[in-house]
Amino acid sequence: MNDEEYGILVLRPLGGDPEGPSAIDVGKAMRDGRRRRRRWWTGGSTLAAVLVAALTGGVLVATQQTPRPGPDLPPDPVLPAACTAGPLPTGPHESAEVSGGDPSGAWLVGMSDAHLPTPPVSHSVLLWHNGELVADVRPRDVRKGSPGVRMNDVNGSGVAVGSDPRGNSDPWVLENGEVRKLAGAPGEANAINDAGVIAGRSGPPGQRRPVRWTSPDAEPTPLPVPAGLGNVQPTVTDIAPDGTIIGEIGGRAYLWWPDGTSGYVGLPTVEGRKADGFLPMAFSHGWLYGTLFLPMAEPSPAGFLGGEARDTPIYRYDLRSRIWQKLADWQMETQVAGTFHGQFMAAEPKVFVGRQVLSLPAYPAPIMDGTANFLIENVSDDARTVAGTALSGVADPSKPAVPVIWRCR
Amino acid sequence: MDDKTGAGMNDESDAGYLEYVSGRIPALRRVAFLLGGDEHQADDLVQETITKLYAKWPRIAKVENLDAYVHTMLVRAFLDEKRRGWWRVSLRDVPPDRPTGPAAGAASTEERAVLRAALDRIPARQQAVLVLRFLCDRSVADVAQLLGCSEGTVKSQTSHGLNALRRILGDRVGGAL
Repeated sequence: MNDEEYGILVLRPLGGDPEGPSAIDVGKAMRDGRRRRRRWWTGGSTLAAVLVAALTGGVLVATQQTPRPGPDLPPDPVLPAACTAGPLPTGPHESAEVSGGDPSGAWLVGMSDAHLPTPPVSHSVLLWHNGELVADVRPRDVRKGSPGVRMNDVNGSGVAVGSDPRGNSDPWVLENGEVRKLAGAPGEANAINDAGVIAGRSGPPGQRRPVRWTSPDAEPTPLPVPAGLGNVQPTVTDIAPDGTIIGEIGGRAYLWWPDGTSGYVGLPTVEGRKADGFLPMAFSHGWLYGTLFLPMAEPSPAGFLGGEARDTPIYRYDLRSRIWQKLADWQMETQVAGTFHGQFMAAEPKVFVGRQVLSLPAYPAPIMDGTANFLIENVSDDARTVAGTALSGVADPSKPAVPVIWRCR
Repeated sequence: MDDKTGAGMNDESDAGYLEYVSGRIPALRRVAFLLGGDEHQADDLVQETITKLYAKWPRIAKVENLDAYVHTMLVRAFLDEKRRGWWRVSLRDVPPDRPTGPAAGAASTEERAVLRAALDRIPARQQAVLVLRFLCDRSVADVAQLLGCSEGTVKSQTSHGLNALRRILGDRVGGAL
C-alpha cells in the first residue's frame, strides 16, 4: 500500500460534518473584531505590549544576535560518550511515567498508570531516589473529575510540586512522604528550586495569576504583571536556582528577578527578521531554552500571508548576558527536557545537553513493532543521568508506559 | 499605519463582510471540525477566524482569492491552539473502551476515537497536512498555500505524518481495526 492509499484508508473514517448546532456568533465576531481594529490603530499589539513593559520599567533589550563564546556564559556539561537505558521500578503499578527531576538527577518524580483513564484507575505520585522507588502516595482530597496529581518538578531535597493536569487544579506538594495542598488553593505549582522556592499560579481557571511560595509552608505571594492584560493569561514555566522565575505572557518570555523587578525578555532580530515571540520551555544548564517565533524567511506562496506564518527555531538565552544561541531550525527537531510548552513525543530519544544533542539508546518497551515514543523529562546538570518515559501508542492502552532512566558516562 | 479606512464603522464594508461570512460558515465549520475532531473547538476556531477577518476586513476585503486567505487563517488558528496545547500531552484521555477485534462495517465511534487519538499524537502541522490532504481533498499545492510552506514540505510532512500513524496504529489499519 502506498502513502496515498494508506492516508485515505486511515483518515477517511474521520470524515463527516459536525452534528450539533453551530455556536458561532457573527455579531460577536464583529464587536470583538472592531475592538481589535482600534487596538491596531493605537499602535499595534506588539508595540503596546512593549510600551506596557517599558512603563513598568522592566523591558529588556537583546544586545547580541551572534553567539559570542566567552567566559561569562554558563558552562555546558561534557556530552556523555555512552548511555545505557533501564526501567525505573514501579512497585505494584502496571505502568508509570516520569514527570520531573532535580538538577542532580538523583531525584525523579512521576505518576502511576497515567496512560489509563481516571475512572476506574486512580493514580499515585511516585518518587525515585538514585533509581529506587522511595514513595508511592495516593493523594487524598483530589477534586472530583480530576485525573489525579501530576508532580511537575522536584528539587535536590526530594520535595516535589504539582497540579491537577486537567480542569480546575490545586497546587500540590510532596514532602516527607506526604502529598498535600499548598496554601492558597486553587492553582498550580509548576517548579521548585533547591532553596525550596516554588513558582506557580493561584486562582480559579481563567483567572490564575503568577505567584511564588517562598517555602512549602508559605502563603502564595502574587508576582507583578503588566497592566492591561485583559484576557491574556500569564503562565509560569520554571524557576532558576537563584530564584528567578520564568513565565510567558502573550507569547513572550517574562522574568521575575529575585530583587523584585520584572520584565519581558527582549526579542532578537535574526538575519534581518525581528522575532515576535519566544515561548520559554525550560531553564536548564544555566540557560533558558525556548521556541523563537520569526516571520518566514521566504514570502509564502500566497503572498498575503505576511504576518501569519512563522519559523519556529529553538534558541537558548542567557538571562545575565542576554545572549541568544540558536540550537535547532525548528521546535520539534530535538526535545528540551522537562519543557513546559511544546512537549512532543519522539521515536528516537534525543535531547539537548547544553548546546549539543545527546542521542540516547531506545529502551525496548513492550510496544507495537518494537518502536517506542519517548518523552524526556530530565537531564542532570552533569549529564550523567537522563530520565523520561517510553510510551506505547495511545491507541492501545493495554501497552504500559515505562519510566526509563539512562545512565551515562 | 493606514488610517484611511477609519476607526469608525462603514455600513457598506459591514454588509460586504456579512454577505461573505454568512455563506461560508458551514464550510469553515466543517474544515475546523475535521482538523480537530471536536465540535466545540471547531466553533471556537471559526469564531476566532471570523473575528480576525472582521478586524482586517477594511484592508483585505479586496484580496484576490479571499477564501484561501480565510482558510489559511483558520488553519493557523488551529496550529496556534495546538502549539499552546502540546505541553503535557503524556497524561491523556484514551477511548473508554479498548478496541476489540475487527469491527465490521462503517466507522464505529470506537474506531473514530482510536484514529483521532492517534492523529492527536502526531505534530500539529503534520496533523493539519494529513487532514487537509486526505479528508478535505486538498491538493499538495493547495495545502502548501494554506500552510505558507513549499510543496516539498507538504510532501515530507505527509510522509512523516503517515509514518508516525503507522507506528502508533501498528498493523491495525490496512486490515481491520
